[in-house]
Amino acid sequence: MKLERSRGDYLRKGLAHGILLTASALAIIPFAWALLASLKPENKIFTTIFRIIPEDPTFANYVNVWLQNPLDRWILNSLVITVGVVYFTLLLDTLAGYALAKGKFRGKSLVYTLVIGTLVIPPQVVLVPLYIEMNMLNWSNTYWAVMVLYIANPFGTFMMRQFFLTIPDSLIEAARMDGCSTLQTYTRIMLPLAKPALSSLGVFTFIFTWGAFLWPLIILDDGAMYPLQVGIGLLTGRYSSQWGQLLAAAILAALPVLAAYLLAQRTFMEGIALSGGKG
Amino acid sequence: MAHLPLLLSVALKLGYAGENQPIVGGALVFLAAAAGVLYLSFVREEMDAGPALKVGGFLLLALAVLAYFWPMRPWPH
Repeated sequence: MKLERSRGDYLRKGLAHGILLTASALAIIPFAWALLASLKPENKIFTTIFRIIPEDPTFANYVNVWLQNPLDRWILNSLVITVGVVYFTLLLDTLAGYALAKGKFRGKSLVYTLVIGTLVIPPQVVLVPLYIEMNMLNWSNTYWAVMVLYIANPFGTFMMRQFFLTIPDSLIEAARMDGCSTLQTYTRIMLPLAKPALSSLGVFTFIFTWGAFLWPLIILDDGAMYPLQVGIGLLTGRYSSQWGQLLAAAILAALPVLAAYLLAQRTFMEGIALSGGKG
Repeated sequence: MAHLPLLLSVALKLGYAGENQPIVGGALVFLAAAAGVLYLSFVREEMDAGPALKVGGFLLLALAVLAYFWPMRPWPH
């Protein structure tokens, strides 16, 4: 039997597609404009602002921003901080999430409430105490000071707990019967099952840490230690700015995030679906 | 506890890298991450690691070497 679609169905579908296309355009147009404007010569960015496609595309802004600023060092600094944060976040959040989902210990619900409670505190509120703390530890202007703030975030713990709750207890009981200790059950059974959730948490953390600006700006004061975002932020001067170079650096900064997302896209989507997490 | 300031000063030296110093803290971070990823990729068969994870481990190892032997350009640029 052939299903006939009414005019209302087509209207609803058209409206939904219209909204989706508008939202997609709102997200993509600024990025596309930045990409195309970064290919214009510096003196033509604002004189040809309504000409979207550059007449004479050039990579001069990319070359200049690389040669005139320590962009390579800033990228490495960002990578050090991001890799460290992602690695330790995955390690600690999976352990904490596993304990909170499957562990049996006194005060579990209190610990879980405290973890969730930290989610509602805006990070800006604790910046001053953290700055004083880092100074007391003599850690200001170090990689550790930047990383320690982002490691073991409560969102990751919550996300991993939600994922581990979906795994049946019978698997853990079977592992126990086979002689696995708690840690062996975690490494041999739980961790391989958590691959999609790990992947999505890894990409979330990577994107968040790569884009971190405020805390590194506060705690670092040496140009050799700046991550990429802080370096780019300081390219704008009080009286004049090299907008072409700024846009070129912003496009370069977006590339690793795009690459990370494309590499982990399939497992990323599975992880979001399985753990109920949203970006 | 008496050794705490000494330990913190060592951590400080590892965590900071000036203009013309090797990035020892960065090399350590990359090395730890590479060891973890390579262990999960090649030792733990349960993980059923894909090519991205396997290549990622070696990439992190290369980044550790790069951080330690960071080729500095004349500063300021």
